[in-house]
Amino acid sequence: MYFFDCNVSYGVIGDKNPFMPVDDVEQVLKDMDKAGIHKAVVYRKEQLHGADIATGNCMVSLDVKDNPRLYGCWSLVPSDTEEIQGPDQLLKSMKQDHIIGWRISPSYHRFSKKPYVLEDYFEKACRCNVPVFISTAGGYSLDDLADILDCFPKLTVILTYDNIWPNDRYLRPLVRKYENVYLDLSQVITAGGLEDFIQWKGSHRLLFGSGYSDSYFGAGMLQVLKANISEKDKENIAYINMERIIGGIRYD
Amino acid sequence: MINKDSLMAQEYIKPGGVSGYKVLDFHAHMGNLVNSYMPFGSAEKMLYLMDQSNVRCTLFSGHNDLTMGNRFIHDEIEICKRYPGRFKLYMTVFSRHCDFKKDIALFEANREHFAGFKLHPSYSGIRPDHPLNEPYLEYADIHGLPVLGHTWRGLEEPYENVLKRYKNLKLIGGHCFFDRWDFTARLALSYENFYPELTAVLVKRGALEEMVSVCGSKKILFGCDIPWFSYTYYIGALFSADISDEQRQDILWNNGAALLNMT
Repeated sequence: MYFFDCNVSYGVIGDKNPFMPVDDVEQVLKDMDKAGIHKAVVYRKEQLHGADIATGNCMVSLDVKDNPRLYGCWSLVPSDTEEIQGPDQLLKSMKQDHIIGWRISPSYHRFSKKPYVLEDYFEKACRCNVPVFISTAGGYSLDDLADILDCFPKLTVILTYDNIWPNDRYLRPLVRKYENVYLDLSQVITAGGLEDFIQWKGSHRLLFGSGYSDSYFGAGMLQVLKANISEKDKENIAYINMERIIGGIRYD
Repeated sequence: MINKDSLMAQEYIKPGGVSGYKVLDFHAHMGNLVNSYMPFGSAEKMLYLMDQSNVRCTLFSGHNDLTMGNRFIHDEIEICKRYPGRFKLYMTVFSRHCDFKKDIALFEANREHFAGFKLHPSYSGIRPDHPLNEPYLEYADIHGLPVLGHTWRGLEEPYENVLKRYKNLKLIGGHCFFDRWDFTARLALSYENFYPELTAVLVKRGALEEMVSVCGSKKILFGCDIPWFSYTYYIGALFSADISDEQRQDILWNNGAALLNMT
């Protein structure tokens, strides 16, 4: 099975490191080969814990731009402080750097979660199908996200719900209500959960994500491989849905 | 592939490969819970998932027992009778609402279906070393029974007090004092009758490796809180960990089988 991981991070962050820190992209690629992961969407932990935003974004660009297996995400902060390019310029720079999305973490970067704060980026993301990667660990609650989606209902969101407790009561209403919300499965590990979700809504809104380097590549892989679902559903989750999202981005 | 350095992982993912590796689950529940949706909470659906991952036997405490005491325990005993050998029950010590004599009479009348006792301080509101738990712990100690403890950060001292006092019961550290991996491993070294258990641990890359580097693999037991969490996710994590295949087999089956005198 071909696997495209939607949630990989690595980098140097001092005492916040996991037990087996992964400092650089070479180690990521080595571990991807060991597990049998073909492609991955990546960001650097320095984008959340490091120096300035532009430096973190530049670091991930350097790692991915010449590597066809890796796709990067840039962090966003409000354009008003002019620390990063505005949405038009940013989008133009993304294609050449192999960047496919924007990762938004208001708690780490200390800005308001109100929808208007990043409205220029959200409008651009809707027009050009740029996915935004949101983890609830980064500060947005599911209610914050719903407020954003009420204003930008076409926004493509790849959602990591940062809690391994059985979470369908939280996640299914969002998936039902907003047509472009996709679930990263890195912390969706309920027993029989894949089978039950797919019976409810199909496999088109689910993305394989490992949460590496905090979690193992192979855990979610085996969950998909051994699920009692069709081969087509497994392929949708393992890579097809992510490739469809990336293929839909309009850089021009 | 999961892990190209593990022959066991490569064999496992082949069609039928699961059958080569038995699993003994030391930490399960059963039934629904008011604050979560668990689609595979029934005994039959759990059995389906157990068969899918070659889990031969699951030791469980029912959600009903954890939250409301043992008023529904007869239903769970019937499930154990219906599927002999597949499920064994931990009698929950719901400390403030227990009748020890009544509980032990039931325990002894259905001895083959009980594995031991379960302590869950978050639900019972009672520390493991509280006098209310003493009769159960003394009984477990006399008979050398397993006691599965919900061990989480902050509960180190009361559980160590239990270990200091009772040398013959088998205390299973469910969740390994999440996330006190080093403490848990050292506890396993210090107390012969303490066994770390992996529910929630395998979600964290590196935690198992850290523990194995301190206390080895011979006392570590497998569990995943089914129907909360997926066997396949946890087994995939175990296959991915940077330990040997021999150590993986110890954790999945050998250690637990030895503890329960199973073949």
